[in-house]
Amino acid sequence: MSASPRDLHRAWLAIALPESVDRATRTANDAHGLALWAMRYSPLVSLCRNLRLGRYGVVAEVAGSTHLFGGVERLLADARSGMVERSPDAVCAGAATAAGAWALACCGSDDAGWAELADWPGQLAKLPLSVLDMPDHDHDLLAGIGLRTVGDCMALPRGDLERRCRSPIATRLERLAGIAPDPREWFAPPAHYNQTAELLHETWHADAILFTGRRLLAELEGLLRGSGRAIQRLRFVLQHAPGQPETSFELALTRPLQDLAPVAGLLRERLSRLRLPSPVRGVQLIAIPLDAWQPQSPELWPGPAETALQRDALLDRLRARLGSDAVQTLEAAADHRPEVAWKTDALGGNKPRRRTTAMPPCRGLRPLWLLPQPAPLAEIPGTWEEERGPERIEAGWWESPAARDYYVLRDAKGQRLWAYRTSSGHWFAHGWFA
Amino acid sequence: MGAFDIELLLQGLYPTDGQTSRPDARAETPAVSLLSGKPLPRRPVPRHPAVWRVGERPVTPARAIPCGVPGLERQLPGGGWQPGCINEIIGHGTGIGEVSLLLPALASLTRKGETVALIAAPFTPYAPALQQAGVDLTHTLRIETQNTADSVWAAEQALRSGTCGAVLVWLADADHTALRRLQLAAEAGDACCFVLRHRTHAGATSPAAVRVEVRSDGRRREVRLLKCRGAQAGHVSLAA
Repeated sequence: MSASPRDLHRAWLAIALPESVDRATRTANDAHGLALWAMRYSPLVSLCRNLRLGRYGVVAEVAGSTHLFGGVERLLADARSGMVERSPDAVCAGAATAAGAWALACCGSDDAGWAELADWPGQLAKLPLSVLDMPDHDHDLLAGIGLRTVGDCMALPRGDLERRCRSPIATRLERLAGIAPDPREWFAPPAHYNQTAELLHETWHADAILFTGRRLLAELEGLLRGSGRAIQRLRFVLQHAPGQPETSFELALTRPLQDLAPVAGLLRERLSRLRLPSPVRGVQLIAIPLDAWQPQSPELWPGPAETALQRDALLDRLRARLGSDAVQTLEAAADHRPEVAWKTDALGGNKPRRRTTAMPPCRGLRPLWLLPQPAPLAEIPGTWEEERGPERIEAGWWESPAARDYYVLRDAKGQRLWAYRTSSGHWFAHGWFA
Repeated sequence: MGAFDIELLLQGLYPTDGQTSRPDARAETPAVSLLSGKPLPRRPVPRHPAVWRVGERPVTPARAIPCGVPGLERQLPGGGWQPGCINEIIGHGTGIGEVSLLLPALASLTRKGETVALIAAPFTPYAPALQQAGVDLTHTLRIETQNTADSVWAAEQALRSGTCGAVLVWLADADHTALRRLQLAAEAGDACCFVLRHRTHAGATSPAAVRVEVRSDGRRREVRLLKCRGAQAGHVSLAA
């Protein structure tokens, strides 16, 4: 046993979904989602099943990430607390071999600690025969001769066991003990995330939809962590009764994120603003992760990088509630016509923020408030006084020619108006000096 | 009976200076306890860093955003607007220069790289005018809302996030609770909140630290400090 596979991967986490006999297909779907979720612990995740116990689940090779979580026990506790929201009856277990972890999860109680290789034979011996997942013939045979536990099987001579059983029991026992190599087919994460979760019942409540949405977000987060990618746009589709059009909306983030905790808050804001035509039956989340993503290394002291991160989180929150066009940056544009000399830029998803055009500040006085449209003035009342002007602005011959004389007018109450007279002698108000 | 005496409580909590530091105008009529009807013993006003007395030197805040308006600068404690609290601007009419009082402060903030958010402005903030005033537009955000509740929410988020140096919010009708929420958010994010309100609110109570009323007679801008934490109220006359 010198070239031991045990030295390569010595920490395995197994999660077994609760037993389900009649809903085998559904549990298989759940296992797919669970595998995505479990990728937060390791990119090496493998789907498992035990037909005798009717259990589906996953094992993940976590030797590489135990240090990140602060030890195997903490990692196990983290998985347990994470599973409470997803599936409270699921069992998490950890052991030094993949088959061992899966066997513990299949039959073990949830409060078991991490099974180390040193005390593994003792624990292994106590496991019931059903964890070996043998076909009926072998199971009945072994049970018929009075074997109850894995330990009983291991005490038998290997050759006799192989000859009498149809399934490769001896190999399974060796894999359990960590003696034989245990090659596994790794779960291949999909390129795009597209999962649907059905609600337990039709609902109008945002909280129930949010709960399911968070579950999907946790799966997506696992996928992103496992594959080292990030996400900037997410599409949620709320499914109603068959035949009715779906309600869908998109959440766009200011910067790509891998940690999706803030997205749940955005989803809450978006849902609270949503008008549903009919109750919701299912939630679908579609997301295409970005491949090229450089994670930012965190800084020790709060600096500009962290402030920029917080600022982007603020913009995301504001846009989730107020609408994507509600938050804008202001820019000056290189044009002499006042109505074209500025522009707003809605902070869109992955649009790079443009630099302000290098435009020398105009020499004439400009008002702080610009009216959306120049308002025609019947006449200038006699009480208004010309404070400054005229300033001739004549430009835009290529699209909308403007030839105007601008004046700063002030009335007896001290209000200052920016108004212009066209060449035809009509007056228009264009702004206020607030 | 054990009537609860608030003055006893205060005396227990705060150290007192032992004697009143200025003559009390109401000394001739002794205070009477509301509960028992007996005259209360005269006690000095508690000495506490948060208590400021008229007649003392203005409290200089640890830091202030330079106001930049020559006359007003002398009136405000520390020569500027204080972060972490509400500064209320009440304008008598549009276009009398109520917002331009704030422009030097906004310019100094944005030049330092701090974000300034303009929430629910009544008209389009005109980018060339902001540029003329020295405001760096790359650090200026314009946020449009549908109603007052959204404006208050957006202002609260921006203040609390700790990423905005100043938040200007135009509130047509906001109650005391909303302003109080903004006050708490400004404290949490250590940001400066400017609330611009209509003149009908000049008489209402407000949790703002500084309340400024602006009116104009055509020639001069009268800037009255209705309330100013840590300094005396006063008024300034500026060129229109």
